[in-house]
Amino acid sequence: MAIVELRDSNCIFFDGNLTIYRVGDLKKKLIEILAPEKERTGVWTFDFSKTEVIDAAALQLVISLKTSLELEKATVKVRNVCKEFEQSVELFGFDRNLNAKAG
Amino acid sequence: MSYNEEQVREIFFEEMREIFENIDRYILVLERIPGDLDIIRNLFREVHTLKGSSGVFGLREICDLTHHAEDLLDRMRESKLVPTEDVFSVLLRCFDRLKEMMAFAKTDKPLTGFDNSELVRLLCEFKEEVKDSNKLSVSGKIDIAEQPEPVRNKDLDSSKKSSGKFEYTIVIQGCENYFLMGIDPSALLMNCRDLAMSRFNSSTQVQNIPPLTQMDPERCYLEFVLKFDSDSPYEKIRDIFEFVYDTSRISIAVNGESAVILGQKVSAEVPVKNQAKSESVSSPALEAKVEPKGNSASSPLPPVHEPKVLPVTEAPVLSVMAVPEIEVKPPERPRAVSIVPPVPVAQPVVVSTPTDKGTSTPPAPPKAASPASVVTPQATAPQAASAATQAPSAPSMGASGGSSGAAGNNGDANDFVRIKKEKLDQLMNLVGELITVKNLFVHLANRLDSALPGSELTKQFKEGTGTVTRLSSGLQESVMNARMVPVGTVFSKYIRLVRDISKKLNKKVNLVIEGEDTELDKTVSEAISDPIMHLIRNAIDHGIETPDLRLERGKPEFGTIFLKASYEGNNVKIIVKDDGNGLDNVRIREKATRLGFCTPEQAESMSKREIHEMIFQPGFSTASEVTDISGRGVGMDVVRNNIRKSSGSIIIETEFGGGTEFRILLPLSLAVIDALLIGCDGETYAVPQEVIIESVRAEPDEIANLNNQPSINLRDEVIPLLRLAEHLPIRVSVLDEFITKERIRARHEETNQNGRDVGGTVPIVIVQIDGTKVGILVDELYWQEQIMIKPLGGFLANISVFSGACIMGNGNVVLVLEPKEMYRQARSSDRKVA
Repeated sequence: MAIVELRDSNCIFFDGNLTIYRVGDLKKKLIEILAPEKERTGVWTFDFSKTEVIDAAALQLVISLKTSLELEKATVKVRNVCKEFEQSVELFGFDRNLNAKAG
Repeated sequence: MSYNEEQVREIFFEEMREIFENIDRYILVLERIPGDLDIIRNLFREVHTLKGSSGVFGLREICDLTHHAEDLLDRMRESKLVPTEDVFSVLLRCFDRLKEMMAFAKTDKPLTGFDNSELVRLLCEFKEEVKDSNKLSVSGKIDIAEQPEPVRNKDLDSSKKSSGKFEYTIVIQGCENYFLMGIDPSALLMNCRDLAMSRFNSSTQVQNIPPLTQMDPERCYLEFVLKFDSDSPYEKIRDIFEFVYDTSRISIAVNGESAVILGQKVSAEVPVKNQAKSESVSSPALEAKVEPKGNSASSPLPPVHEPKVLPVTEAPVLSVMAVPEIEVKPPERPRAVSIVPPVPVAQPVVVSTPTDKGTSTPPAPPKAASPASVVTPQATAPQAASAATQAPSAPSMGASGGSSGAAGNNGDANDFVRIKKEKLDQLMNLVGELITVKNLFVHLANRLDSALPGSELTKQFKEGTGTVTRLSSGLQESVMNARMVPVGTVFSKYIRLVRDISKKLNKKVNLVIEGEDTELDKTVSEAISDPIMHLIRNAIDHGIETPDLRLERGKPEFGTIFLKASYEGNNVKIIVKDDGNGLDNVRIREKATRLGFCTPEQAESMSKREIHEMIFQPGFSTASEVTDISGRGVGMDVVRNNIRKSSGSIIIETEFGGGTEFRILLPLSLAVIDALLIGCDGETYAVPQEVIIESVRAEPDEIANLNNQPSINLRDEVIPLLRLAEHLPIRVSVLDEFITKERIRARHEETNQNGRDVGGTVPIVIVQIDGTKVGILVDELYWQEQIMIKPLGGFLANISVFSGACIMGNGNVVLVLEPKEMYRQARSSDRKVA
């Protein structure tokens, strides 16, 4: 399975741990998903149910993605994060940006 | 840029191995000179890197245990803990455990099964002792006035000072290259969080992150503001950022009153923004002397790494960073406390003044101590310190180590490529194949010369063959050089071995290492690791006497084990020597007789050399009791077998009461060797050139039977002879025998027709085996050729007199003889007959 895929039209599903080693591929894939013809308004969901580890590089990319969508008037929701993911987000103080809560 | 996670993992574990080696080395040197702050700092750096890197790789359990060790070292570094032998023992145990855990992690096994509570308890106990020792120091042992203080801040109010609680505001900016340099900011944040008491707030500035399509995912656009309370002093907080000074700007404000800016990235282009600015502006000034100086345009930038204390009242933090004309006086540095080393070593009290982390020189690049490094309590402190600081400083993927290697050493680092041994093996195999093909060309050139002598084609073919030969030789030499490693990489691990065993046996032993630069093929160096270890273990267990006994015998209290490597022709000679008991010939004779290795009569007639050879017999030991170190009679057998497997030899020189010397002779390389081709019973065999002393032809009547042993008197030296045909375990069928005889007859006729007068002489190849000269009687001596030894398969693999096979230029397969094994079998059968 790809590192990331689009599900149910507006759900971006991240598969596996997201680290510096994968951010290059992740960015490419995200740009493919968000092709210009794709409608980018409405509610978008980031699904991290398969992600246990996320590092600063990947978080930065996720925030960039979120900002890009929000610039196009989309609303972004983060769901299915595990405790470890939440802790990483909290460590950087991104909890306000991402509103990612475990459980 | 793309990363291959698997490759990065491999590099990580390799670097961790190097770090563990360095850590061991530093601890062992530190044990001898416990007050050496340079070594403590180097050790701390390695441990810090270990912690950071393992954290980056998600090895939380390793990170946690390392944290405790790091904490202890930090106390040591701050001269708050007097390092004792017990401290070092616990540290070594801790790192042994960490190595074990790292090995588990390497194989993806879970680390949760490791119970480190006992180790953590021991480490914490020392930390508790720190507090006690500080109490004691008030009474005068350590001048309390010289204790390092967190920050020289006279404005700290008394309540804060007494409570030891500091409010830190840290701004991290200019992190663009963090990811590319393998620095994970989360490690920095976590380290701060670990030191925080009740409050830890972090906020990350994300305004600089560009939209998805424009961003470079491997560039860090983040900036961080951390606010927390901690009882940790400024130095401790500052050290968290030790390895990122070069890469970013770090501003540390204490109690809302100061901003100490670390890092070289002080640039006029720094944009003034973010909340740190406004907060810093509102902070009162730290009492640091800051004198405006000259014109900003003409003033040089402050020195790299120099911490700067800037008056926040004069300008906001970020604005101040943009004004390099201010001459900054670094904060006052605490003076170190004198520590008297606890070991009984005649050396002066070590008094060091710690330099600032940022200004200190990075650890020296790897360099083998040459000509000799003495890891010994008798060594002077500078010697040992020098030996210690020569340990390699491994580059790191982690948050902490990445920049240390990069700083100032870029040129050297870029000169090296880390490569897997398998790749070199593969390259060497290909070179071996090339040599086989080259031999084929030589063979064809000779045939062409016979068939078309003097023709243009022959001439051109021979020229082409000459070029191929030259190029393949050059390639072979280059690849063999690439496989060479300094023998010091093997030797260094014995320092710990000597330390542990001598402690266990209550003996005092110095290890003197010489010739670490001597290079040896990687395969050979790996193969000799165990034999040398056995020799050292035996030397400490059976050779070196207890300190009391040594003094009684008029010897120095400390025994010495001498480990030396040097070149000898195309071989490397390794000497393992001790000044202990020496071998007791009488006891060896008795034991050999009792164990049935020889008859009493044989024992009586044995030469000294033969007696000493007995200790290599499987199951032979003169030790009166079996210990977990040695005495089972296994070690020396393994020693000789491993050395022989590497086509090496071992010779013993010993003096009863004076010590024993083992001389190991090893070929520089194993893969491609020079060999002499010989004929026997119509077959061709190869004898490795490295064991051959000379080849001679003897008249049949010169061969005499001495004590039922065919021998020859060669220049007044009696040399025993082996008839090759009798020692080859290949049974010839009747048909083969007929064919063989026909071949031999035909060859003799051909030889006579060619006018070569061999005059009925017998060719003998004289070889040297473990210091003994032996002649091998053969039918024919052919020529010398480079061969690549290939391992034998099937039933041939179990025939020890053949070490392998090679393919000749004409495509024939030739078996490679192992003369040492032939000689050993011959002697063994002689003894059985006797």
